[in-house]
Amino acid sequence: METIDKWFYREVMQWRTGAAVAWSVLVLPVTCMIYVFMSTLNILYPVQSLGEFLSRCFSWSFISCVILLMVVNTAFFVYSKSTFTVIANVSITRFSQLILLLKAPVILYSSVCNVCGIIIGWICTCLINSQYNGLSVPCAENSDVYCVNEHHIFLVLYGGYTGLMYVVYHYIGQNNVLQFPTLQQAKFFRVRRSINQAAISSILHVFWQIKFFYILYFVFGGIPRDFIADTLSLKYGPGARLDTLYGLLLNFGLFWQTLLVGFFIQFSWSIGSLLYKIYNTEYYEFPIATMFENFKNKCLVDALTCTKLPIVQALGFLDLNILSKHSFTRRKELFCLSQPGGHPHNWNKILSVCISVIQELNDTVQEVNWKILANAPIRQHNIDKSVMNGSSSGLKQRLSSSEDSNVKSMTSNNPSVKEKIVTGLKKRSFLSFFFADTPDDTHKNMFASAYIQIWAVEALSTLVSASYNEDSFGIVQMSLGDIIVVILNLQENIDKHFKLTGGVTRRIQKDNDISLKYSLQTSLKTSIYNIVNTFGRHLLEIDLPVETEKKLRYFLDYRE
Amino acid sequence: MASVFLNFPLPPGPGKITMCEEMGDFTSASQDTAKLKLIGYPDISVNKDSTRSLTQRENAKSAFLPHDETINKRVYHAWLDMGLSGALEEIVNSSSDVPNWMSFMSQKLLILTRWTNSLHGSFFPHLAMSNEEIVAKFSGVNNWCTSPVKAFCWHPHTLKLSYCLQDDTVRVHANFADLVPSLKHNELVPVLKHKLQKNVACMAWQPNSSSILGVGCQSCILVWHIEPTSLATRPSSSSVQVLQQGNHSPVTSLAWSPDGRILMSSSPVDTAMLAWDVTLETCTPLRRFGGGGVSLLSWSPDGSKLFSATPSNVFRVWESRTWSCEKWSTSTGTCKTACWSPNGNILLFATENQPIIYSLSFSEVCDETKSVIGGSQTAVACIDLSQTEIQTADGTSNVKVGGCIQLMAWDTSGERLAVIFQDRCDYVAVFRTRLNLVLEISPCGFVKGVDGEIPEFVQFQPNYSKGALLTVVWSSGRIGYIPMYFVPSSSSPLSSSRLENVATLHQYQLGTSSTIHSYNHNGMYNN
Repeated sequence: METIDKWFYREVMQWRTGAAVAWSVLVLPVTCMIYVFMSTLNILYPVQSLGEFLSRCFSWSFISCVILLMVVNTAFFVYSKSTFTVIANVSITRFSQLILLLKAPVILYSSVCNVCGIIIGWICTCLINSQYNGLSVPCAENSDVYCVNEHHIFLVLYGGYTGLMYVVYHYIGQNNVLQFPTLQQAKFFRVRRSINQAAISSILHVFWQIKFFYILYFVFGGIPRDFIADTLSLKYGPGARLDTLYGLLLNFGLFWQTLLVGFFIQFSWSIGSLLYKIYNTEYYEFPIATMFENFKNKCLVDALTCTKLPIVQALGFLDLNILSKHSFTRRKELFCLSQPGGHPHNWNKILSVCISVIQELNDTVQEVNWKILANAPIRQHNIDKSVMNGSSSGLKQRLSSSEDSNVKSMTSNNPSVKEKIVTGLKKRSFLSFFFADTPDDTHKNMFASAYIQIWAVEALSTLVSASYNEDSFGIVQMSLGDIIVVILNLQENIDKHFKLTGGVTRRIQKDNDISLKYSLQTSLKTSIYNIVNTFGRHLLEIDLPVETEKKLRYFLDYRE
Repeated sequence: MASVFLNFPLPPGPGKITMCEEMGDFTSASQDTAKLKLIGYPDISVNKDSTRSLTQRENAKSAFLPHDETINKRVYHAWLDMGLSGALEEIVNSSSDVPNWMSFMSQKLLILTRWTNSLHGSFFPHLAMSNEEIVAKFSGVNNWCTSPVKAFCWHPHTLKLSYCLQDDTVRVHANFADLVPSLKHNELVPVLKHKLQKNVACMAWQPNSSSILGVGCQSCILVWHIEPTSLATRPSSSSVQVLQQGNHSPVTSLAWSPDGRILMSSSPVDTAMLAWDVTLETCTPLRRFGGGGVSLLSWSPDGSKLFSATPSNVFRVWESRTWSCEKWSTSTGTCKTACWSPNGNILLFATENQPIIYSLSFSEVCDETKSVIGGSQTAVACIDLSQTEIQTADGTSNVKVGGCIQLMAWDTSGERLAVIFQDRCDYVAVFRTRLNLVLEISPCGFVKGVDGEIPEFVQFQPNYSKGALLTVVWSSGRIGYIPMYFVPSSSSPLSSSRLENVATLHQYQLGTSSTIHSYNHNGMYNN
């Protein structure tokens, strides 16, 4: 029987991706028109430029260019779909970011981007159809001698460069990470809301990358131009060359066209990835149980355990979360007993998956906590004291020290020659740019897929509180103790982790980093309070471990 | 439809003060002998003069502060405070410090902005108002500008209340030690101050948390994390999150989703309401065409629907699954106040200039595959509250009661509804409500404070065990508690606290000391 990941890929993801690609390609004629309008815009002669724009839009060359563009972009979008991921790869240093770009699939993808960029750059020069069009132009009017068209080369090369820089935007700017929305709005409203952001971030990105291209062209621009001139035996025109300061920097017309080309490529590709993300993060309803034999392994619980295709697992947990909040009938199905036999199979399966997922993260966090504790800095003259005090002063010291200083004092504790060199190198300002830890990231890979745990915890707590009124067989109460223990343990370990890493601060950088661990911490607290508010003091009558009960009492008194 | 007040029990006359509701009737006592305190509850009385801030911020600034700041700095501050027109005004006012051409330019620009504002304002008059005027118009508090308390809020789960004074400081009371022994540690009253905390219009405690308070201000939303075990009386600015979004100010309404995961905020000048993920400090705007802003938000207790009113005569109800909405329009101006029944099936609302409470019913969703809101086509006028002159209980004088509605509050069991009025009226009108298959509303009585006190704000304590506890902010700065003792009817939805309430109430009524150990608990331990 077909496994759920293959089935989902064939039946759901391909259609979603197809729709996303189709829409992003259908938008292209509009973007092209805007592009042509902006490039023919002349403030001094508005009427004239408008007429030129209209005649251009209905010309045969425009239509053929747009069709070609659609073909290229379709190929590009279809190729891009494999680059998206659900789990963000957070790089700790800039150096590891660079390494990230040197992986084989990324290199292949950047060459695809480069080629597509060059082609689109060339199409752009055809679209505007003026001095930028064509490799060669007559050196003077009515002359038979042809000269190399440096403006054309400049724009086409810039197209390729923009393609390369899109890879940086895609991977390092985490454009390739599928983030699931907080509110499950209809796709139209999500697109309408995100399109402004896509435009703004495209503009910013183009402004950031264009300066490096100008520098590059100023230094190396002669090489491609001379090569083309040599091979096609063209002459150099009378105008200023573009690899001179005067010719390059003061050519505002060229600068404007370059910006437009960059923005056009960046924006149309961002729209493509935006639509892909919106289509594929849309929530999908998996059946809880089914009567059909060939769908037996395509139920919700199979989605929750699907590790081959992480997006299926994510959508499964999202579905569980949504059904726990919004669907009375599906909850009822979850709380029902099997016929015959009277076993709560549906509930048991889903519960065990959720608990194992939460437990897994709990173990990881605990292990990391222990590692930090074991490597904790204890100053030489403090050792006796801290041993005497049962290491309480050591703990205090750790609480106040951030992760950053942890690393430093660890190395200063027992410095070997190699480490000395490394720390010495790190202090050099230039290298520290590459090697310095970007704050807050050190342990983030641990939480890169924490959205699973967030949804699991939220779903469990919502289901438990819904069971109060809806669970007529009392099956949820059987497992109430386990649920509370596992959630409270994770909460305690995460809190400990925050204290150890100094991450309790509420200041969060907004720039594109997914602070899933903060969400997890909040979500755990909210979920515990949700259970506490439903059952009140009766929770204490469950057989709970002493530690858990003690912790639970804090929540019952609203002191957490 | 005749005014409902003709059927009301007679209101207490001058010199009397309402104490509580017992056996179905409000009892009142002479205000000289009556004890104004309720045992266990903090005695809060705001001294009006000590907390009054300087009435007109801008004028006061120019009168008292020395003008030795540079012109750039002053313009910058004016821009932060009042926006573009404020900055232009500052330049024009200090024309001696700036070059001639600049003052000329800014004068022309100022005229232009005002003209465009007025043009825009002719469609949406509220856009032409200043921040303070907007807040005063759309705040739930009756006379927001003069009321000693600008905003008031009970914690949804535990005994904790917060209120904001005229000087924009927020105080948090959790000292209910006589009622809950475990709160013994908390005798402190934290005072929350922040430089951005200006013109506070609303406050909301996060559900499913112990101590997170959202405060809607002139320029932003502040989310305070008040550690319950902390001994600090002035929580520092490290315990506050500032949620700010361009053009989304002043914030006049905040609503947490009942599960505490989303904070919804709205401003009458922003057409989008924002759904905040407070942890990540990110927001998702929800925008629909029409209305010119969002003035009031109210989340249904079951979390499935959200009511949003606009400054024009349109209001919407959203469903919280896919966030689609249905739209209604009233014939008589903006929706002033609204509240949901406990099960989220009935919405009561009142408009700005009609003394009528309308009800809008929502059907149970049968088909869950589609997102339906299921609101009925038209709202039903329930009660006519038009102003009437009636005799007081002692027969000595006549008083006017009723008028257009300022604020309604419905208690969490759905048994009592309190109403205060926009026009000067010394009484809070209280109704009995019953949610069987249809909504029944019947008169219950009037609540009166000390002579001369006007109710500014009412709210029921969400988790009161003996019936309902009405909290009234009086214009004198006193916060009054009026307990209403009753047994909730069995038709109201069961919740754990409710079960406890029934148990304790029996105990209360029988006056016995035996504790009730067991009661059927909905299959909690029947396995």
